[in-house]
This record gives sequence, structure tokens and C-alpha cells, in this order.
Amino acid sequence: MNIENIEKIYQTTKEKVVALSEVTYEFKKGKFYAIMGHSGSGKSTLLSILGCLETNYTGSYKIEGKDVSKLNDEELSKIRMKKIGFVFQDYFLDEHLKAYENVMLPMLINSEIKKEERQEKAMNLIKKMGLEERMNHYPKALSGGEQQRICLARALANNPDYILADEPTGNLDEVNEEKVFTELKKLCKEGKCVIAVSHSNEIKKYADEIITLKGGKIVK
Amino acid sequence: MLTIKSFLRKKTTKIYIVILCSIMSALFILWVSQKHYMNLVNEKYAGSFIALTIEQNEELKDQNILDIHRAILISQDTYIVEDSNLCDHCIVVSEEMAEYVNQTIPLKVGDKTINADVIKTYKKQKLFNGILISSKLYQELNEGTKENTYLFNLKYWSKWQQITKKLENKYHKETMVYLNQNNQPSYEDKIKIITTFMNCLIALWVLVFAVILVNIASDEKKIHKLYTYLGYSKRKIKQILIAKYMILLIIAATIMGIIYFIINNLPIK
Repeated sequence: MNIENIEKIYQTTKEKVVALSEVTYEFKKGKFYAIMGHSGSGKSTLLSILGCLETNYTGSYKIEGKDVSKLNDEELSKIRMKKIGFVFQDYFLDEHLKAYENVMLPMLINSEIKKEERQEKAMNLIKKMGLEERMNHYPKALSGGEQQRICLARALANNPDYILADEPTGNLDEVNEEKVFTELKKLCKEGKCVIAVSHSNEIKKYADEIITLKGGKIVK
Repeated sequence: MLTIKSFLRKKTTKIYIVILCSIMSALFILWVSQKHYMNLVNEKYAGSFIALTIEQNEELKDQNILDIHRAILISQDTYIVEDSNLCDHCIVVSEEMAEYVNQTIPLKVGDKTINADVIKTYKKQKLFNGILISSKLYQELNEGTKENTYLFNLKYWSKWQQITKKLENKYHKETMVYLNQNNQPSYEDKIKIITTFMNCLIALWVLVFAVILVNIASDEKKIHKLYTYLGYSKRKIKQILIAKYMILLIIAATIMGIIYFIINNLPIK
């Protein structure tokens, strides 16, 4: 992922708020990047742009050489589906679907995964997270750490190259935080690029590179 | 599909289905009551008919008309009525003329006279007095006449006023209504009240359904945001939302269909 001179301005009725300014960076596969900074420094905005969710910005954004800044909704959705997996602070699981069904959700729109393979693939991902005995449970019956690992399994459903995590351990205790960061680190060793926004200093033990944002700019 | 599975597992979805089915059940009960009273009115007005004479020779059709016969008016309440089931030169007379069965008699209408074979009699009715003739004989007797008289029997006699008004407005001609009055109670007022309640319930159902649609769109916003993250396009998410609306309707309609089927096939005399 290559971003160059990214600028994002929010226009309110009273003023202009510069969320990001002159942000240039290259994110490589096999590495763990931590984005840190105070509240309002532009971390979530940067993650939204990297996740192809935010399209109203200036600058260049390329994924594997392809400029995504000018793509339409269908094309961006396809990129998100194939290339990017998301992990959220509040897990964002569908509470009316069982654990393995949540993991299957992204596969429904992936024509490369056959219908009969989906459930098995989902179950294998859950086993990989060490939650085999929980796969038929609804999110309500899972602990925070378990839910986050199901969320991680879901993020890996379509075997994306990039994992974007927004405060993945924000609601977890130390033990579960360590588990989640360990899993994310494992993914890097498997060749994936992990970009995580976090307030926790624990992430520094796992991250290969730390990006600090201040006032919408990368601080060196 | 998982997205629909999730939707159907929600408590609110089940509540919506119960609400829609409850209103539809109430509507159904009222409809059954309405039909019951309409049948009672039909019994009260059995043997009644409406006559209309118009210049056009057209096929009159209306969902409320059970059957129509062309006729020639002989006097105030005496008709020669076309019956397309009779053979070419055949006629059927009332019981009073039973002596003429199996005989050929002359039929005179105006200055036309034709011979016809009396094949059988019909049971004399309070309001109808006349002869039933074949289509061929009707054509011969009516030849050269500009007007056609039609006799109507209605599906539901509770609507006779509505239908006569409709016919008079359409053809700008007055109808003659022959109502078989008897001492049976009139249920037309009850039918009107039931119909009013039914219309209110239909309006309520539409309003409730609209509110449910809005609620669903609002409730599902969060989960649709998740779908966006997972790579579902806006178009796909819209399709999922519409599918949710449709499944709600289908389930409510299916439940009502099953209830209707069960009640309709109950062995009740």
C-alpha cells in the first residue's frame, strides 16, 4: 500500500478541520505497522482511507500499483473484499449469527470460494484461533478475547493481504491483548501486512514500525 | 442466505410478523363474517333479478354479476328469456303451461310469429314469469329490434344498489329491479359496518407495514455498515434490504395462506 501526499479536510459550517496533511508512507507485506497518536490526530481517518472507505481526499493511494483513489463503489468494495480484512475495537460481530457463520459472512460475496467449501473454511479459521469448541456459540456467549479472535478469523475469511485493525485490544484485558497481538504478529510472518491503530504501548513490542501522527501529520 | 438467517433470528422480526399476521387475521375474520352475511342476504333475495334495456348489443361483464340473459319484454313482468343451452327450436314454459309439453306452439312477439317445441317446464317463481327460448329463436324474434333487454342475477345481492347505479351511470338508462321481499331480516347495515372496519384495518395494515419498513431500514443500518467493511457494495446491501422486506411479506402471507386453507377445509356444515 502506497500513500502519497494524502490530505483530508472536513468542512463544517464554521470551519475547516484538517484531519490529515501531507501523509506519505509505504506499507509492505510481512510487516506489522502500529499507528499511534492522541485522539484527533487523524489515526481513524488514515485507517478509513487505507480501508477504501473514505474517498473524499486528495493525494495518491495505490494498492499493488493500482491507483484506488478514483475507483467507484463497486470496485472499492471488491478491493475490500479481496485484499483487506478489518478488525474492530468493539468486534462488530453479528449477534444473531453463530461464530462460524460470522466468519462465513465475507465469503458469501467471494465467487472464488464455492458454497460447499465456506463452512469448512470458516471452521478451519476458528480452529486456527484455538476456538474450536466455541464455533457454534453466539457472540453473546463468548468473552471479549474470544469475540476478538472470531473477528480476526472473519478478517482472514477471504485470505486478504492486508489486515487493518482499529484499536483491536481497546476492550480487552492484558492477557487477551497479548493473545490478539500475538495472532496479528503471526499473520505478518505468514506474509500479510498488518496495520493497527492503538493507544496501547504493548503494541510496540510487536510492531516492526511505529507511525506517530500529530495534528494530521506523521511525526518522525 | 446468512444475512436473511440473521434477520429472521431477530426478536423484532418475529414481532413484526406477529403484528402483520394479527391484523391480517382480524381482516380475515371480518371477511368471513362479511361473506356469511352476504350469503344470508342472497338467501333473502333469492329469485330476484335486474332488468336493463339498452341499444347496444354488447357482452356485459362485471365481477358482481353471476349470470346475464338476453330477454324480450312482453309486458310489465313477463319476459321471453334466451337460454343458450336449449336446442334450436326448443322452449321451456312455466308449470302452468304443462299441458303444452311435447307440443309445437306458436310464439308471437309484435308482428313476428315463430313455431317452437315445448320440451319441459320450470318451477314457477315469485318474480319471474315467461318463457325460456333457444339462442336461435331469440335471434329470430329480436331481429330488426334496436334494443336488447338484459336480465341480471347477482353474486351478492347486498350490492344491488351499487350495481344498478353503476349500470344506470354507464348506459344512461333506468334499470328495473325485481326484489324478492320476504320477512327475513336485512343484514345490509351489518355488512356496511363490517366493510367499514375492513377498510380501516387495510389502512392500518398499510400504515403499520410502512412503519415496519422504516424501522427495519433503521435497525439494520449498523449491520449494513459491517457489510460495507466486509466488501459488500451499496447495490448489494440494498438488495439485501429489499430481500428482508420481501421475506417478511412472504412469511406473513404464507402464514395467512395456511390459516385460510385450514379454515376453508374444516368439515363444518
